[in-house]
Amino acid sequence: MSKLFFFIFFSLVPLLCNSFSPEKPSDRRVLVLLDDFAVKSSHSLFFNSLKSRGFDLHFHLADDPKIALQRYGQYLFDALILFSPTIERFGGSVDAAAILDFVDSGHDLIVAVDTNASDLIREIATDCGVDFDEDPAAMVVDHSGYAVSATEGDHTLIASDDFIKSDVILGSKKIEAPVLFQGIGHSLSPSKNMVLKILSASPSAFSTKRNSKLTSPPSLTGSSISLVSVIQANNNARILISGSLSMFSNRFFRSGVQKAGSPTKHDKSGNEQFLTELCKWVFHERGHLKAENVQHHKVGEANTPAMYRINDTLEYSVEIFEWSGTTWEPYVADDVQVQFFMMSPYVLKTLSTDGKGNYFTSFKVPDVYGVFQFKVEYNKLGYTSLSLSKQIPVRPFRHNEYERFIPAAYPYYGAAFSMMAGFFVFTTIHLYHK
Amino acid sequence: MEHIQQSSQSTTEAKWKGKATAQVKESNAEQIWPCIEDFFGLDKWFPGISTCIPLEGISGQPGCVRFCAGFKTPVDGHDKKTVNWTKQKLLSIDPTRLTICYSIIDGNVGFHSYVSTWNVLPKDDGCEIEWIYEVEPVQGWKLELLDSFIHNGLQVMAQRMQDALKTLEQALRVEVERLNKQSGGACLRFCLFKFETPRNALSLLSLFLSSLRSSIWPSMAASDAHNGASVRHAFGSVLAFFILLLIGVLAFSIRLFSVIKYESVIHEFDPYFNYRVTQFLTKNGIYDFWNWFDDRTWYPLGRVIGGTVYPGLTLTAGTLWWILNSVNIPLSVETVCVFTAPIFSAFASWATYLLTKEVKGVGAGLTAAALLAMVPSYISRSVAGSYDNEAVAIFALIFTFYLYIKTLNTGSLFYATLNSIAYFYMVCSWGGYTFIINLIPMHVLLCIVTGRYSSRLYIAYAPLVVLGTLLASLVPVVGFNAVMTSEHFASFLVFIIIHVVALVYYIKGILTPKMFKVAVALVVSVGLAVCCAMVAVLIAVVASSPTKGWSGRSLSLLDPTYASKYIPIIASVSEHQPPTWPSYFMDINVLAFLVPAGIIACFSPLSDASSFVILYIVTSVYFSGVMVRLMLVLAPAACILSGIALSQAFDVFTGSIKFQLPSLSGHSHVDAGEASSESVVTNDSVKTDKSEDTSKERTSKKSKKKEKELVEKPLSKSQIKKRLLVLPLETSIIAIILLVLLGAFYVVHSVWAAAEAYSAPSIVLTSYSPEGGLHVFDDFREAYAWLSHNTEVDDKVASWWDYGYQTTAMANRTVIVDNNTWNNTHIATVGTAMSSPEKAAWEIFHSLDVKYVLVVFGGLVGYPSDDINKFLWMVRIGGGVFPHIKEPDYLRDGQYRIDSMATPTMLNCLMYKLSYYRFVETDGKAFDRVRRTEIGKKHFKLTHFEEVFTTHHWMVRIYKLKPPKNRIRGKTKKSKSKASSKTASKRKGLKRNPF
Repeated sequence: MSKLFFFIFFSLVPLLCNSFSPEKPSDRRVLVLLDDFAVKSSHSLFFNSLKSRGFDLHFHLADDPKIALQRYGQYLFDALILFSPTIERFGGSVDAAAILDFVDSGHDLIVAVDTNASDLIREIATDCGVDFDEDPAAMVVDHSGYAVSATEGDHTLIASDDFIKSDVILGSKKIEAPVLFQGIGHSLSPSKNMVLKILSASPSAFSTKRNSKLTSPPSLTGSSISLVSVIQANNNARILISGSLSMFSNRFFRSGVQKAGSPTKHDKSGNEQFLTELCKWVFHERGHLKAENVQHHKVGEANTPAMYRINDTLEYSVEIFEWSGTTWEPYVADDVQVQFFMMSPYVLKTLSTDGKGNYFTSFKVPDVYGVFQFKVEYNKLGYTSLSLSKQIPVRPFRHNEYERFIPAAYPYYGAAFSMMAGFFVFTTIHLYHK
Repeated sequence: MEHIQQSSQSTTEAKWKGKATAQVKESNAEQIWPCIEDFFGLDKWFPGISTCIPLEGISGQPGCVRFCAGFKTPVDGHDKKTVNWTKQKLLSIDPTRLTICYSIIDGNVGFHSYVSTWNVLPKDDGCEIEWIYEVEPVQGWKLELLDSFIHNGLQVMAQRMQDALKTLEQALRVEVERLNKQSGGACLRFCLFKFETPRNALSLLSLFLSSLRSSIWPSMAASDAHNGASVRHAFGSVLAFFILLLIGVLAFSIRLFSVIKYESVIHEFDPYFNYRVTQFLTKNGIYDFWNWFDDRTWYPLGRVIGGTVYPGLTLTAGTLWWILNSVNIPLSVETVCVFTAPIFSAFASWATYLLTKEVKGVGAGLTAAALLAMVPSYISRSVAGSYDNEAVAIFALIFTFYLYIKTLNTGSLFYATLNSIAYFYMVCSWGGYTFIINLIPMHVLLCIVTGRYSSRLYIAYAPLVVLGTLLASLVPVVGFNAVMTSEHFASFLVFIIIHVVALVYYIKGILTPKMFKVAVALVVSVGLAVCCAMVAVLIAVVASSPTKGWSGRSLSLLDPTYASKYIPIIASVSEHQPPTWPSYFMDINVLAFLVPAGIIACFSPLSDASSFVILYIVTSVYFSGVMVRLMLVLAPAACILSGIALSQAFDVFTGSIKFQLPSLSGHSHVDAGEASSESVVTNDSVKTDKSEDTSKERTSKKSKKKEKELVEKPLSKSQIKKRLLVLPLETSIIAIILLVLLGAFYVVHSVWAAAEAYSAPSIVLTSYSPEGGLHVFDDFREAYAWLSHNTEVDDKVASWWDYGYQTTAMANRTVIVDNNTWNNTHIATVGTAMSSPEKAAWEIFHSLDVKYVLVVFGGLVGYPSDDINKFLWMVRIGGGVFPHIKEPDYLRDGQYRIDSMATPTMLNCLMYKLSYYRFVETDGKAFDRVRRTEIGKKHFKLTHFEEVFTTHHWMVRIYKLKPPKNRIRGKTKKSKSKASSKTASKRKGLKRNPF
């Protein structure tokens, strides 16, 4: 085992230089922690789709004492897949805090749980903003949105087609077939938009213990139940949390699906397309933006000044690109805005784009001096957030930049000079003509 | 020494000029001179003058004015009804060269620009009186007429003087012999001259002494009395010059204790800003300085330094540095800044000398200069390193006053212009210039009200207002304030009044009294109506502005309770508090007792100059009572008055001693002198004997000239005296010893204050351990150095505003607020953050892009002026703008405490937490040595801040704001029993990221 580990480690060394970087944001090395190596084969379709896109998958049992996320301060992996819903304690030095640190340092995470998820996994999920049903035995039951199957059972196998409407996350191709789901539901912290409900349960769903009578109202009901959620942290690390491990399985991938009450029967469930596209998003193959080359200067000048003057007209430009998985492509949108900000935005302008990733605008500096910032806060659903700020002081007029003569003041100039002339004449007369 | 009035000498070329001389055979120049010098005694000598009375000033002081009337002129017809009169002003007087110069400033004989000079020229046989005169052609006169008029007059004068001197000699001789027989030469008796008037008695006394001296030192007096006097006088001037030089050296060197005891370093808070500005000035030049927009302070508002700073100090030091460098003396800017204040203290002492000399003569001037050189109040603001506006402003203040008095005494437009320029320098230097622009109008008004209006007053005042206001508005920080704010209204009001008065005087001159009365009645009735209307408009305009046109600081001057009621930011500064009684003793020491004597001395005789000094002391005493900082304005006034008092007292005592010492006499003449002085006082001796104090005061009231004459040149001076009061010898000696002791006490106190009390630079603290070792606390610089080495250039540091200047100057980091408290809201924001719980504070600071928070904490070493002690002001200032901060929340039963009885709000506010974080780890008990108690909450963690640096003695603690949370947590779960979920819920219980 140790040999194997060392082999893995040394095989990874060349990859270190190819690790996650701002230049190539896609993940490459993925650690997969399993409860049981059987999952590796039972979910092989999913894993193979990852491998085919160039990911290095490293499978380990979750309680393998050799596993380590980092060595000498360097993370060994770019992403982590936790397919070990029942694990109580990870092997090696890994624990919940280590996994959260892994995320906080910008790495991605996929967590899939099942009923009877362990407290450890629940804790990780909670720290990411997702609360699984507190009852460990609870499952999501939907008596109207269940998948019609041969074994007419307890309606825990749900066919859901209530996807989030985002082409960035789920790809531009519409997912026709419903997605099969069997597992535990979770709720999201309200009022936080960091967590997104990707696949939500139908209004008729509820979460309850399997095969038991409903004695009290279920804690989770209706469409507030999320089946699959993603989180994009502030540092753009992405987390996928699914209440069902089996939805990744080959069985669900292959099986046909017919939603109860729906006449159409699909030959193949939507799971494969849904999860493949979702993983592309989670592993930063899509929806990852970068902004660079921020430039600003006065109209008609090329150099960036150290300071603007009030009422200057300036030009601001920034280049925004999106990562396509292999190359940086120009990002095209019409809703990128720049703020000229000092405690509150004084100017808020939508940037125009030339379609080649270049965004630009021009505006007049407000008639207020102070230390301003050019701020681009771009938070669009599914995209990594862009937050650029560049400090620039704005000074008042210099003493010799004011108008020398104001037309409105000519009466006063006249008064002053006539007064002087009059005084001179008066003095002369008074002194010399007695 | 004195200046001949320029304007009157340099008029038209077509002036009549002439010269007359008269020989005096039997008296020498020294004997004749007192008669000439007696400016108010012309009626005794010049033929036909029936009246000669003093109008202004002291006889023998340039600027004094006499009124002469009753003489006949050659052009008068026999039908002439009115009496001829003139007002003549003494322009200059020089007892060494025996020359006197005066002009006719007013009169009904048609003389314009009349200037004449009398010279007494020593001859082998007696002397010669020379009368040089010039005048604009007079209507109805001929030059020949004038020549003969003056020539005849002079001849008569010379004769009369000679006669009088002869009479004197005879009379004295007889008297002396008689008294010698009577009393056997008793030396210590009071005596009285039995001559016609006391002042003649005095002149004659000195004449007598002069002849006495001739008999004692025949070699000196007989051969060349004139030269002897010149030498003596020259010696006095040289002595005065060297005394002044030494005073300058003293003023400079007494302020060097801080450099010797500590190091050559800029002190305190504001000086650091000034230093930074000076660095900018020397690096970038004056235009960039003028237009400097500083983006490192008041983030994100920035500050237009060029437009909001008084540039005088910076420009002065910058110029000094530039001059030194251009003559290849490569001093650093810091060195120049450190020593600017001592240099200007020397200048200030010299300016004090000039001012006091204008008021009461050289002796008082020197005394006042010496006192000012070491007055503790001024030392506190001008030790080496105390590079603050006051360092140069006090010099500018005194110098402006000097020039005002000088203008007032001479009526010279030249000095008036200089005065405006000095005022401009003052405006450049310090906001205290409003004191000048209110005090001078007050004095002008006082002069007008007391009937002392003169053209000199007009010349002293009108140019100052016009030029001064124009110049003041050139200073960017003042700008339109020079005409818009109420602080300046008084000067304009008085400007109007003085013109009205001038007009009235003019009209009075051209109208007959009857017509004048009618005119007055007419004008007063119309004028009153107009005035009422104007005043109503003015009040309406002023009242329409919210602060009634007054700035907060000025209002707090007029109403001492204003600041504490309405402006906590002004009240929070310790130097804006009213002083305590001991601080008067600390800061002006014995001067406090001498000032009343000086005031009395100024009252007799009351001249324009002395009334100004009285007004100055009265107003500055009031202002110093409002704000301890303005003690600084009081100090020069106290020094001047004490100088006058001391000098007068010394003059009286030494005069008495000299007058009575037998060793001086040795001849029968002296006995005569004493006998005569005995008879001087017998008339007044009842009073004198009754109360020595009264007599002392009274004597000191006599112009110091008399004493000087007795002390320095008893033989060459004569004075107009109503009485001569001489004190007994023993009393005089004891009093002199006491005065010297008093002075010694003052010197000892001043040196102690300079060395111990006021030299600490306050960025480096020292303490003596019980074993006698010296312990240095250099935490401030340690912290600022840490900031400058370990943080990014653009990082923002938040602290209470006290430390803003130092942070920008020493750490070169952007601050949120600093000691230039121009934006109350911004300061209140920081105060609110400091008074809020951690999370709210984090949000406020984060919205201001703050990266680091700096607090000053003295609890470990017992440094009392730390942030916890200032904290209530943060609460008040914060609560003034953000009402959710309430002061009572931080007080337990009205008491400010940080122990276990403190309120929860107090124990949870950011300032408490940042100050006391990990404090319990120092001694295990968390005992605060400043508050002398154990703190209330000892063990706590910070959630939104992390400690990044704490200095050696924990005096400065720097915290960093934690970044916003990367993730959000799920809902807090309550009902979990498993151990693992307990830890989870514990973590969830922590504060959430606000974003």
